[in-house]
Amino acid sequence: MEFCVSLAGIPVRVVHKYEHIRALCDGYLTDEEPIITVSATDEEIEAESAINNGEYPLPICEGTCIHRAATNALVKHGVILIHSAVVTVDGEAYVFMAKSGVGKSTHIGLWQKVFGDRAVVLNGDKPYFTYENGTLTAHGTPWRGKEFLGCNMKAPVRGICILHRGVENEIMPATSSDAVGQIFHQVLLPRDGDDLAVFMGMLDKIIKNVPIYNLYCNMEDDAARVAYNGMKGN
Amino acid sequence: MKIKEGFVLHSVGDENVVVAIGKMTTKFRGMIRLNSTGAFIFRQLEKETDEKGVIDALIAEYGIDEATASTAASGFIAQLKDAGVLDI
Repeated sequence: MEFCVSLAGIPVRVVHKYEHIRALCDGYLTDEEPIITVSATDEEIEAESAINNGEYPLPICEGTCIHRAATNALVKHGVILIHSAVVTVDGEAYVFMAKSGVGKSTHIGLWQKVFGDRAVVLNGDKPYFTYENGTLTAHGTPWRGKEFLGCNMKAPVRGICILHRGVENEIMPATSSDAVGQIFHQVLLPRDGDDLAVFMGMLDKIIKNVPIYNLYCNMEDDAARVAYNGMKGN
Repeated sequence: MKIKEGFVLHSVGDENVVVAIGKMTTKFRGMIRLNSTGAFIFRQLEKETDEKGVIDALIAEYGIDEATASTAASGFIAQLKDAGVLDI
């Protein structure tokens, strides 16, 4: 079976065995001629299952393998994954990176509560990023995390936060060292040397040109206001 | 001695990071961060050289005395060996 999706504007043919991935990609289908084809072999799917001790059914493992294949293939087209949660307010994207379990989804939930209809979750887990006309742009993807947060949209990135749990809410600019240390934990490094060079070039551009902050926050509404005001420059 | 095939150095922001590519990714999945001197020595070791070659390059680049250069080179080369990055 196969179908074609648009991922960060790149038409990708997905050749698959199970229905799960097709259902996951609803909302991303395209009639455009694909320029990339991705698939997962039975061996890859079974290896993925084994890594997780059989916790996830094979159709979900196929979806994970296809995500990895697509992510690797998209790098040479200037598309990279940064594991993060992205919420938009008034059409601008705010990106949150954190170690697993810190509470990215909880935090963007606060943004929805505080900003109401102005806040739209772009992606809760695995957004793609490109540079469009010199601006870092976040793209929704079918892979939206356990809560299935996100939609097929794109938005220019206003700022990136490294999220930490804190007693008080506080936001401050991150150093280049902080940013590199965190961002490398949230990416899938290409194995191919040429792809890696493209990838590192994009990370370098992001770290030099996009405002990156450390955000220490609790789970109260004010956390969203402090984060927004800090990144918006108010 | 020389940096093993499959290790590459990139500059990201103000940082210098070494990561693996190709087959080496099955053996090495992390990242090594280097300061500017470390990055300079790594560049010297991307082509076949010896410790004296590294020391001479450090003296030429930074205008330091031989003892200081020797300490920097031997310490860093030992760390690269321990990390499995260097072919002796």
